[in-house]
Amino acid sequence: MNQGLLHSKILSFASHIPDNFVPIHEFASVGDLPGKLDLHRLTGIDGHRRSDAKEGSLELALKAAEKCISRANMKPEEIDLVINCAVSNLSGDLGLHISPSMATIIAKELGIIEATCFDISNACSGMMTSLMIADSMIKSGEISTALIVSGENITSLIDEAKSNNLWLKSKAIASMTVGDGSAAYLLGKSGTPNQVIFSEPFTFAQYNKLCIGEASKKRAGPLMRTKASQLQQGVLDNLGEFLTRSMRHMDLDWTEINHIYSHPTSPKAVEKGAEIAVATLGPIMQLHNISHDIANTASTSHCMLLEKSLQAGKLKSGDSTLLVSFGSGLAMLAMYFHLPEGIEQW
Amino acid sequence: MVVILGWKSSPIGRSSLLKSICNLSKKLVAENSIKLSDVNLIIHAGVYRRNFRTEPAFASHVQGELGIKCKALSQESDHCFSFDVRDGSCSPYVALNSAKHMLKIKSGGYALITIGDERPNAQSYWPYQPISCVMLVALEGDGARLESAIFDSRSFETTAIVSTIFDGTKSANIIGQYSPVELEITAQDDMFIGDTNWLSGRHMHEFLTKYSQGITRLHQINDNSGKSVTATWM
Repeated sequence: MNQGLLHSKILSFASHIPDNFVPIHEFASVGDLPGKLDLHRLTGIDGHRRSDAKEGSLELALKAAEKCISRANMKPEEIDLVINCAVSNLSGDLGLHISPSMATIIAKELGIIEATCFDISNACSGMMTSLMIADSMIKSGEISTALIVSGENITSLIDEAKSNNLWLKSKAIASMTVGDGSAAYLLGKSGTPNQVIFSEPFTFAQYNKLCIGEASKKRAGPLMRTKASQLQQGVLDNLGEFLTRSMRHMDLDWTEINHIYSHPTSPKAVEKGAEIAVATLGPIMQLHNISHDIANTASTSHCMLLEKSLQAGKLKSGDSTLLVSFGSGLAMLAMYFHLPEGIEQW
Repeated sequence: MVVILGWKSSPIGRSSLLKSICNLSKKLVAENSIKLSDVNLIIHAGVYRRNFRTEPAFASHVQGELGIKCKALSQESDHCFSFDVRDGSCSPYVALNSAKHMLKIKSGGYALITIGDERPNAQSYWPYQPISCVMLVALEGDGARLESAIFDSRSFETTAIVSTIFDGTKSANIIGQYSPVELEITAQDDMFIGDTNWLSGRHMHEFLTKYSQGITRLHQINDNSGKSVTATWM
């Protein structure tokens, strides 16, 4: 697992969770959806957070990044690499950012002048993919410190979905399970091995047409079309093997991991996954299935959940943590790490 | 350090980007006497996708279209990992650098790097004639060896940012206008520097053609945004 004598660790993480909570009955009440579909009962989502009208992916990302850098007591100029991994890359007025990398703009705004900057795109697994590459760059000695950041401005998907006749376009309904937010991690050198370990990464491309995000053809901004039940089944069909294989690859004991976070497609979906995990590997010490009031925030989701756990006083320095990631494509990978020292004072 | 074991390129013409990339990939793999199932990693580098698609990664579409290891997971099964990278015209070198690191993780196989763009929609102004380029990459072997790639963002200007706008008259999201940065370029005589208006597939096609002819081993890409990357090949 270790590439050489160099090791990495998570120096800090941070999320910006917008204050504005929009309850699900305001945008997806039972009467709004085909067949009297009860989205709250189906998903376990109570609502989502919506960013301010002028806040786009960039502004959201900057809030998380600034908090993350502050928590690590670092100066921006000490950062060698900035990776942005947002799916949305959407401005407040719904313009999709195209070029150059959003990471370049984020770095400029933060005063990070000399860093290498680029974007990774791997749907909701973009964050884990980016962390994996940054981890390898640190372990190879190429860089010392990396900022991985994402701002997801995606609740316009809900407005887009509702502009359709959902009886005819049922694939738009999954768009109502998303929320806005942002996340950042700082990864740096460590004198101790195995502070950060990754699973093998997999793409099961046989599922690559089940969730598509692209520009709307009739209004500003994006749309998303999802065959949600098929995609979820793809995850569940491979989950037991994935977790077993990942524990073996990372040389971990599942039952001794302090905190488990799964990509929260919805709280109900996480429950189904947890049943498979428990049946396959045994009891879970703490499963943080707490996305009911933030919904699915794409690439930022694990960090948003970590931030909520932090605010609830659930996290301690050195605790072992596993983030299990799924993204459309279908990508599956996981990251194990130890929570940074001093987290109780953040 | 990564090595390009082989590469192929072609104008995408009236084909789709996916078809163009997959056709080139099949030929490339056959010419190098390997099987598609030997590919463990696919990284796509590009900026423009049809209808400004954001997910899933284009590379996962390449993997699916080529049928590379599209099977259920078992404890011993062999799989591929696919994702996209993006940094304007400098994207190919982000892909090559990412491949260097990911091949250490997905060891024992080859990386397929695909580079290309396509017109997002008919409503967008499109002055380009994109070239698709695919490269078979490994950590060792015979071929063009990338010694270093140094990225420089110091001349980046936010006025050069490209993003979509919604054009009400066309009822479509289209590529918005931007102001390219005029860079003062000073380079060594033997360094190949492409036009700042080229897309990334053309940059790599032109450089690799000249590298193959023994004309140069130094390559610089200057992006319209003011960003640049300077690469040294062995």
